[in-house]
Amino acid sequence: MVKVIQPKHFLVPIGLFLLALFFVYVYYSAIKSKENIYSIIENDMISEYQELFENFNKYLVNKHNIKNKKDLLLLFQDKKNRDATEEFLSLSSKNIKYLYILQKDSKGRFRFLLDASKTDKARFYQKFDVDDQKYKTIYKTHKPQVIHQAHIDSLYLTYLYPLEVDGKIIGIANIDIDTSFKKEIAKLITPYELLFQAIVIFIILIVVLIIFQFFYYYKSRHKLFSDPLTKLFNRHYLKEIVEYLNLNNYAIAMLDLDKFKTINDVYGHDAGDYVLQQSAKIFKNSIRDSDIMIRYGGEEFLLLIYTRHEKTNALEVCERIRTNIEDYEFNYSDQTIDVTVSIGLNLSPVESKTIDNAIKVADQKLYIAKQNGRNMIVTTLSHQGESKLIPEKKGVDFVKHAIFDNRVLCFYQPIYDPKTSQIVKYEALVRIKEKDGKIVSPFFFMPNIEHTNIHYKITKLIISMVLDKFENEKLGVSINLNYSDFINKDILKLIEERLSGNKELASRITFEILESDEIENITLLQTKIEKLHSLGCHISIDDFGSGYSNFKTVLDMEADFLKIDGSLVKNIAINQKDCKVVSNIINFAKDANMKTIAEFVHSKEVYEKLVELDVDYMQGYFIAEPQPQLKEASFKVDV
Amino acid sequence: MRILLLVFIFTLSLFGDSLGLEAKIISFIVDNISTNQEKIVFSDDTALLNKLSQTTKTTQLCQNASIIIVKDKQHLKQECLKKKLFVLDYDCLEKLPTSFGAFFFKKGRVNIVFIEPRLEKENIKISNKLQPYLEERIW
Repeated sequence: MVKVIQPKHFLVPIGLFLLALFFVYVYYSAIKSKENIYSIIENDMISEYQELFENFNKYLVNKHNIKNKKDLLLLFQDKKNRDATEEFLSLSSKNIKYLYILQKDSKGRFRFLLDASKTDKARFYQKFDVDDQKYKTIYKTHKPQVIHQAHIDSLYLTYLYPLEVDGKIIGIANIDIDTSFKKEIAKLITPYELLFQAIVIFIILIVVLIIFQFFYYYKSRHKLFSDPLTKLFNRHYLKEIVEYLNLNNYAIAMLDLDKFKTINDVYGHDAGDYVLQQSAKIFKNSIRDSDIMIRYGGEEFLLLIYTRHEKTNALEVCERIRTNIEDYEFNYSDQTIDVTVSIGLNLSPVESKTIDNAIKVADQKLYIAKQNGRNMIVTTLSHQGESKLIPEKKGVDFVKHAIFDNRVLCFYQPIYDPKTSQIVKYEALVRIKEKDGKIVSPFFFMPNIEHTNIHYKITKLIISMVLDKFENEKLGVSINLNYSDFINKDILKLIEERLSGNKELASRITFEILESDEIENITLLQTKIEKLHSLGCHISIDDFGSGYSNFKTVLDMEADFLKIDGSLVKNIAINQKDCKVVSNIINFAKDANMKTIAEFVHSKEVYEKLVELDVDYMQGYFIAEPQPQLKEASFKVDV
Repeated sequence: MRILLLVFIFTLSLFGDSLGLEAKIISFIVDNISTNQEKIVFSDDTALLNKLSQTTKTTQLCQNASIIIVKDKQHLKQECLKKKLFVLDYDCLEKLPTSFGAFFFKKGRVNIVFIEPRLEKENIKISNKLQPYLEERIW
């Protein structure tokens, strides 16, 4: 699974392995050297014995005038001659264990003529049973023979020398060498041998230990770098490989499962996990071995598409993923879940200075895909193909610093009554001014601070700012709160403190709650709404039509206003279905004694259609954009 | 024949421990001699006798034996020295005039000797396999 391996990690075991091989070679060479030493000493000894017997042969011929076998036998029959000859031969090397002269009798058996050995002496003419073929060979070749004695206790080798007169063998001179010289050499070499053995064993053990550690390390890496739910790589893996990634060779795609939060809410978290697991499998089956899929967080995935050889591959891979997800039937507990995926594809990450920036670009494109209806791949930064940089998403620290530096602002967008051509109130919209003066929309920081203390801090700050501003105004203002704000004691305490003694101001304040918010406890929410009503405030349901609340829940909230979701309003002039839904919402609101507000009024056509449907109030760029200053209350829309 | 026997003995010497080798060779010798009595073997070397008992008929009492393998004559009762004696040392052949043969190691090599006149005296016959080891006298 781990695709990028740091080569330097392999150098240590390879180095140790080579070192172990080197020591094995040195150890083998030492053994060979030992054998060579034996061989050299052996050859020296043999040369020495050969010289001894050559002289002895001459001694026999010259001094004793030996001419044949019989002469030799007669010579050594005399004990005095035997003693003298033994003395002659006794000057030989200390490694000799036995030194004796043999002669074949008439039956071909060897017999001792002379035994100069100090131990295990044989008698004159005693039979000697020998079995080695070399005793035959010497009679054929007339050349000295060497027998390596592997099976005779304490003997190392036997040297046979043919005693000759006139080319005929009259006897065999024998020398048996014991193993003492070998033991002496071994005694000298053994400590070095043991040292080499110890070093080799030690290095082999270290290599085994390191191999084991590497095995364990890569097993741990596997766990460290994989997401347990989807079995894909996780963000740790991205951090691990980032320094080895060549952005020239990759395209980067950000993938997000559409409306995943809704899937969790409607079908439960187990179903959500099932969707994530199945989607991960589809992703894996849709990409190539050279591509890297990472679970980036929640339902968001990062795909590194290998494009070294063909840039167009990236789009094909993304399209394969999108269609495979769309076509797959996600069945969980007998329910079919519709799943789609939006993809932002950065085809040239190398243009970004860092991978983080390249990912941000992909993320911005993903945002565009989400904004433009989901289930699509976006490769440019605006859906018209223009390069329009979208500010990056901001986190807790960004908001914290903005609060500290007093860079939190409120923009106000008019809510307009088309019948009277009057602004009835404004909607307060939070903005943060960056240090360089750029204005940042809440889209880029509010989702990232949800359920954090900073969220409550900024909500309280906005409430204070808006109430301060409108204390001396005539018109009203809407402030957006989510469910968690409504049930937050500190926020409610602040509202009570500011409005309990000021009925007039309270009557101009509307709190908007998102219809799509997770309302965990409707009874608790009703209690809080009652409290706000008792202060004299109004309640509006925001983005109605985008969530899943039933009509009873809406009625239970006892809201004063119903704000129709922009996604229904924006196409009202061209989409009959949306038009019908909006018309029904307006009728429902009238029956429930709620005023309707249509947001996202972006064109003359939409404006006219809404007038036709008799909506109470309107809001949108066609009427007026949000501004830091309040727009004058009375103006005519240019229709 | 002699070569074959030597090879046999050599092969035994490769694989057997010293005592096992001795027992096997003596067992081979006993198998290849014939007397006018049943061949029941005794030895003053208890360990050797135990090894021999695995392949040859043996006795724990020298009085009951027909062939005695002598390691050290001091250990033997006088009446037993009158039996057919096979010795484990060449010099013993001289010390025990009734001994008919010897098996011993000379300079690390296996050596076997049968004294022909003594074989005749004891009415012992040897097979062809043992003929190469016949000697007319002790040297």
